[in-house]
Amino acid sequence: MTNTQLQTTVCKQKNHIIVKLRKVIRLKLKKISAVAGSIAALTLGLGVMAPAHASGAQEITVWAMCSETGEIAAAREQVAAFNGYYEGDYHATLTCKADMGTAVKSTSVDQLPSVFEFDGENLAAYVYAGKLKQLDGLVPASVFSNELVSIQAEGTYKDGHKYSVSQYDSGLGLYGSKKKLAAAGIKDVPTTWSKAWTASRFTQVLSALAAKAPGKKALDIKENYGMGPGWPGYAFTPIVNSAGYQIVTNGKAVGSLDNAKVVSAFKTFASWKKYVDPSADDKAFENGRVGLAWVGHWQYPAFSKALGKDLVVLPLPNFGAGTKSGQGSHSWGIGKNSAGTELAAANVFLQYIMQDKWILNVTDQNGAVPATKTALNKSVNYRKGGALQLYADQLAASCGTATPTAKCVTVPRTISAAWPVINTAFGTAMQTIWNGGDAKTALHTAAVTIDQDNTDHSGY
Amino acid sequence: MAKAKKSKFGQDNLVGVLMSLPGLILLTLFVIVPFITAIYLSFFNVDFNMVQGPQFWGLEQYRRILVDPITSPIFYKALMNNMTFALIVVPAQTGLAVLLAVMLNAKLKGIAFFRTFFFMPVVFPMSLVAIIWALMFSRDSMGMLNGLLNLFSFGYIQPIDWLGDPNIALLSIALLSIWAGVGFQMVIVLAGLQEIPAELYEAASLDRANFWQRFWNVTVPGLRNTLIFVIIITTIFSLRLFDQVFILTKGGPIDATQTVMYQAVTSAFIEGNVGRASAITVIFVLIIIAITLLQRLVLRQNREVK
Repeated sequence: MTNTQLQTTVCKQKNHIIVKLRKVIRLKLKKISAVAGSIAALTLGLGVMAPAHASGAQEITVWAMCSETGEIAAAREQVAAFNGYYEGDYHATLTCKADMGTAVKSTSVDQLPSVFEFDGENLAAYVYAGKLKQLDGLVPASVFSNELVSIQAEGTYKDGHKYSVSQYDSGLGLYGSKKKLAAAGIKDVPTTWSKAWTASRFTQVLSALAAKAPGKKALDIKENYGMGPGWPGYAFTPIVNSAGYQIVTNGKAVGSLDNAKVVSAFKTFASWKKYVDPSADDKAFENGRVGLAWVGHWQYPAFSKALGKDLVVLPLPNFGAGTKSGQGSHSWGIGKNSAGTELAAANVFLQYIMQDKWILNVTDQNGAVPATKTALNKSVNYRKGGALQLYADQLAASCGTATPTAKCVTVPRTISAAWPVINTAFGTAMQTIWNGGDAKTALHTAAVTIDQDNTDHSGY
Repeated sequence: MAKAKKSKFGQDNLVGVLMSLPGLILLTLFVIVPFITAIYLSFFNVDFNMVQGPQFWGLEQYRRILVDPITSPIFYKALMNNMTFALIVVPAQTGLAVLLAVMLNAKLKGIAFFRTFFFMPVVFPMSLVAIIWALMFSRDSMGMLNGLLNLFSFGYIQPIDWLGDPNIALLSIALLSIWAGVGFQMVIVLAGLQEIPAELYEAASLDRANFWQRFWNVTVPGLRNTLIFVIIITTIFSLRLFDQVFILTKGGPIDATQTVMYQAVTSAFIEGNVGRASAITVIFVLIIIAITLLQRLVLRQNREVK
């Protein structure tokens, strides 16, 4: 430690002590005033109405998603730390919502919390419904510019303004077993996105792997997550993009989603079903029944534990316009009706959790891609040379909302208030195709449904 | 005269009205009011969180559901699935319930254990049951059902794609539903069985009736009213099919397990399309009322039999 560093540390400690002292004094004052307050209230016969934090700490309510244990644990730690740090100034109360989508949809704007976490794919729907506060001019620009390109795109509505910040992004690709690939005689294993296998090469790879596997299966696509609406919207939209299209182009799905190139890509994908292990136990890859898995970053901890040095991370196959991947994960936004000191407190809360320390706290627990450039560089797995650098590289080459080309990789899920309808229509088509239905009809029906909904809403 | 009338009204009917009030209030609040709201909403283009505001559409929602060449086939497919499901489940489940009830009506030691055992699936939430069955239905040879079939057929029966094959998926859902629901009907039939006077069986034995003769001539007529109730309630339950489909197949494969209820719920709560969901519900309630009336007409309850 150099001299200056030492001085700064000492200085920091001093400051820390002063802050602590202040807190103690404030706390004492708070207690005294609270006691005085309640006595006064009791005398007036209004004991029930005395608020718990009468001392002036601004209350904010926070809704977090509690689907994943690691994530909700991190959220609890962050809220507790926030309350400790700003004791007497701000106080956040955390509520965990198992189904945030339904919770936000069925809550009117004036009942929404100050701050809430949500699935990034719903941003446009919430902005459209007037539920999210615009964040530019509120959260400092430096916070946004430090976010990954993909996350900046995810938090931007079509009006060009920012409505959310995110602590982490997702990574989607293939995982492979080096030994199994080598045993099947496959030597051209791609580890950068520009070298991704073409779809026809991938068919050969699957066939070679299956021939060597005891159960004659080669691939796990997490069929157990459900091939109907949901998982396909994230995992298999890249097939549409890799054929060179978006689900919706210029507000129209017909001609885009049901384009001949997309239809042909899905026919190829469906032809792989004979090599796909249904993975009912969710462990086809870890248990060595298959040599490849098509899944996201969240499986990395389990896979690397099971395979160790045998694990390799690969890009998804290329269906013509280069490999494509998904992007986006949970986001944080401010309820539209937040105002005055509540809004100020909510703003402070967002900035607090966007510190690298807290971002790494949550990504350490859920394995996701840290969503800021500075945090990414501190992450063992995602920084240059890390095991999951491929994901970081893919996200850095985000296509944004432009038509996907071979020069970019990740495509955000359609940033539109129509996303729930698009997701359902696309998932239904995917399920039909996967179970042997006609790809052209299925995709056309989905496209017509999406366009009709768009017309019904006067183009949103 | 007037006085007598008044006192009659005041004493008997007032109590009656008072006692039925809680039920009436709840019915009004949770059935009648929502249903009238649904009829009203079905005439609009209305969404959760709609910015442009609801637009009056008249019968457009009904036209799309019932007539439109692109959007209507799925509704008829769902309705057909509902009917097929009911045609499989109602006889099978009722028959099985009677069989189990007759078996469990035996006076044996530890019979309470078996009764509890068969009733247990009814207590489990459907979400839990469906997830367990998803493992049993797995399409590879690791799935429990496929494993069993393979074992007992000495490898002759190849793995079946229980939930992925459009021809089998609805049957698989029916199988699960019967397993999960039969306990409920069984308990009702069991109660019905215990109502049948023992003298009737005694008399039948004296007439040297064997087991089957006793079953067809004493048990079945004695259970008539119970069975009518069970059939009607099973029909309604099976038309309401939703949870299993939502968890296991999401209406697929190739719409093989679409149901009317699934469409209504997903329209409203996934897509936010309140207008369409309301219209589906209105049509469906009318259909269910028609079916129930028809059943009551055919299976007229015989109040004389005791």
